[in-house]
Amino acid sequence: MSSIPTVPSAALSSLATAVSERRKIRSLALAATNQVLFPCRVIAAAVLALVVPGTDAMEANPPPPTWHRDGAVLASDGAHVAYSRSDAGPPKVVIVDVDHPDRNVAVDLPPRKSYNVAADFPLSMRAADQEYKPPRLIWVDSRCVLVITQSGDTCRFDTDGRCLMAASGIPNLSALRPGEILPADLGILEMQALLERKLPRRSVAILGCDEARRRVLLLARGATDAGRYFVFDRSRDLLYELGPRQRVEPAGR
Amino acid sequence: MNSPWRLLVVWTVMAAGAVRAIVLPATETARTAEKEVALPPMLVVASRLDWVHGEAPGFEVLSCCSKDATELFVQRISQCMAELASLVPEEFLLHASEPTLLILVPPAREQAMAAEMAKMMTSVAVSMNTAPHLRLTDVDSTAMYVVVDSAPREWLTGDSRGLGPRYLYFTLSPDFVRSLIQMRQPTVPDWCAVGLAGLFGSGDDQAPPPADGARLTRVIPGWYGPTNVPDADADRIASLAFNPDPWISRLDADVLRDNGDAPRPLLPMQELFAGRPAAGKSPDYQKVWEAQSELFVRWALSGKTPGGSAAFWRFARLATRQAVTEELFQSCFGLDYADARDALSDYLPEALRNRVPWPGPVSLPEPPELRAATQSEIDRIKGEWGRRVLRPVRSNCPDLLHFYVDQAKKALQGAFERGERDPRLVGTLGLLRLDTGEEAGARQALEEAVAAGATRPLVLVELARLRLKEYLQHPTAAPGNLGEDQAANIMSLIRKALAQQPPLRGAYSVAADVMSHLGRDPNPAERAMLDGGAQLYAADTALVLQAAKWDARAGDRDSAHRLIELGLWQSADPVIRGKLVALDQLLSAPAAGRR
Repeated sequence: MSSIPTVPSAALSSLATAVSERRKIRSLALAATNQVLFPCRVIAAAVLALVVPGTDAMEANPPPPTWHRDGAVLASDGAHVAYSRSDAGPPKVVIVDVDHPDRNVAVDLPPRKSYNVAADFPLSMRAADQEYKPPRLIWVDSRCVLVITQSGDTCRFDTDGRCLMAASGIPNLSALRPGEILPADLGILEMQALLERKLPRRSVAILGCDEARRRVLLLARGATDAGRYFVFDRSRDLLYELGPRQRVEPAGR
Repeated sequence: MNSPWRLLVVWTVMAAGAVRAIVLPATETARTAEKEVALPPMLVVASRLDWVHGEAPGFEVLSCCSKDATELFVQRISQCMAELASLVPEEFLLHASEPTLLILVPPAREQAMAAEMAKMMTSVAVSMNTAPHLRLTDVDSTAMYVVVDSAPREWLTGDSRGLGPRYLYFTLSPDFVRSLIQMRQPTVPDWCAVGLAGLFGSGDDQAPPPADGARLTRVIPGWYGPTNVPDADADRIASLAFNPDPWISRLDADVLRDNGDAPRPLLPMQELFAGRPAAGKSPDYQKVWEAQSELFVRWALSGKTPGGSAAFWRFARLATRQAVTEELFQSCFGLDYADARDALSDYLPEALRNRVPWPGPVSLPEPPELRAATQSEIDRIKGEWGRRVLRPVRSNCPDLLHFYVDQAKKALQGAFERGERDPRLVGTLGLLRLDTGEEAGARQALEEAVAAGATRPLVLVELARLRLKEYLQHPTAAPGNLGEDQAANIMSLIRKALAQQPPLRGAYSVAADVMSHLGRDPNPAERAMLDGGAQLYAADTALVLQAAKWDARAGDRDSAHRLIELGLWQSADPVIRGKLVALDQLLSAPAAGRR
């Protein structure tokens, strides 16, 4: 009976530590690059990809205008927000009316795809770091949100949570209203500074604003949590907490 | 409202507008319907009532209600104060050496007095209302006028089913709690006073039902018990608690109770602790600030926070004397502002469902000893009430002021002319004369009262002020400076006043004026007195600045620096701030403290 060769436990421990440290650095670096403006972000991402192998420019790049990697979008009316969450049960899209908190609906989406991380770990950092991607959300208009799941299925919901359409394939996004890009005249730097003062010790990412530029959607993350979504009402000087961000974790954990 | 246990709030302030119409002849009402004014009740001298007098710890009572009703009311108000002290440490509540004056009147007598008052004022073309219950505060004491229905003792044993909707009983209203907290010096932070008062006010009809679905009603304001268990009084009292948080509105509370993930507005902690929102903030912001103040108090007292309620009181205590910073907060609760905000947000749905436990009921104290009131007592208390109501009458309906002045004078001057020399009565007469602009007469009466042993802080301070004014006109030292004998005459009054509770701001102001006209620097004891005043009344930045200057001149850099920091924290006035900064720079210079 041949004995199975064993790897010294000290070596395994060192490897695990190295992997863990590398992931920490990468996660911090990614968070940092997402805080800077678009042109700088591209450069920062390129540098990051060189310095920390395993990070590519696409990951650090800002999402295309109509796609929201953070899984939350503010409608053009400034009242409705859709965000995804999957902390318990099947993945959901929550549709919130900030002005009428009683009109707050959660709709179920098809179960998410799972990954066999254990099989790849630790040979492939990319696989280990593979994150569950929340569905992409786009407000078609202020009454209808389009949901595109990771598998490519699409469906539309009205603000009462009723499913308006279910079909495969991604529609022609160029026909839709561009996403909630923060207008330059909002004063993004001032807004960022203001929100960081209001949410100290949190990493604040502005996700968009409404057409009237009255409200701003943002994500505030702590050092250890996935973050919470907020809408900042500029005229009332009030922050409305919407809910927790979908917990982003490596699949299979 | 129809519940037999329903109690009506006794405490009503005129400004709140809760008033009841005087019974006026129909013709008169029609004639004067154009304008309606709210008036404080007048204890008409001509009314012949059988007054009884009594004393209980912290209270002096003049009542024309039945003996039972009077005893029960005084017992209940004493019990309420003890209950309040079981939740709020005494250092956060106003403590006054002067007893609170209680004037208790039954409804029938009140109507008779009101009719007499209306008859007296027929020449004035106004429609009148009087407040059935009124609390008037001076800087050193409180007086309350309460219309008390007969109060059956059965209520206390739980059998209250026979009580009518007009049943009236003493309660701890949010307004009363807030005034007791806010009148305490040094000033308790706004969020603390508003949050605690909100806790006591969470029992109105707008409060949402708790999660267990049991219908609760107000037994004692802020305390709730199940309505449908009339025979389970003992159990009910043992399980009393504050009702669930009413939050910003009934709708918002309902939504969040049903769905803990519903959106909710919350202020950053630094904005909550920055004090009442500025006038320019939106009404929504103001509402959120008030609701979050109460939420924070509930969270801190819920027993689920790091450090528990002790941490909360420690934080509140420190916040009375220094600027609230994240470090200060963290040193008390072990959380930074961001985590505390998140914790509050997470606690909110729970606060909307669950009640906050109360430390426990306090047993009913012994009834007060009652006896027939002497004419001197009746005149003194009527006169004191008559003097206090002048302020609201002057501001609300100055046309009627002379009626009230006449009534107060009749009571006090009449007794004085009959030979009554109770120092409290003479002191009140002096204060009345001062209020009506008779300064010479006021000085005479106040001097006589103090010579006869009056210890009321307001009497002492006002006499000190009058003495200072006269001495400055006729100084015994160099022009503009007081002689040592003159200063001693004033300072003896001030010291006596400051030995009482509460230490009055006016006493420190007069002392500071005396110090600035002495022609010498104050000695260490005098400086210590001013420093104490500046720390208590840090909002009086002129006092803080002056005390800091004296400390600097005496070379006491530490005291001066502490006061400068206090003044800079309190003052938004650029002139005062500039002076404080200049003084601070002077202190930092090598020759600081010497001129």
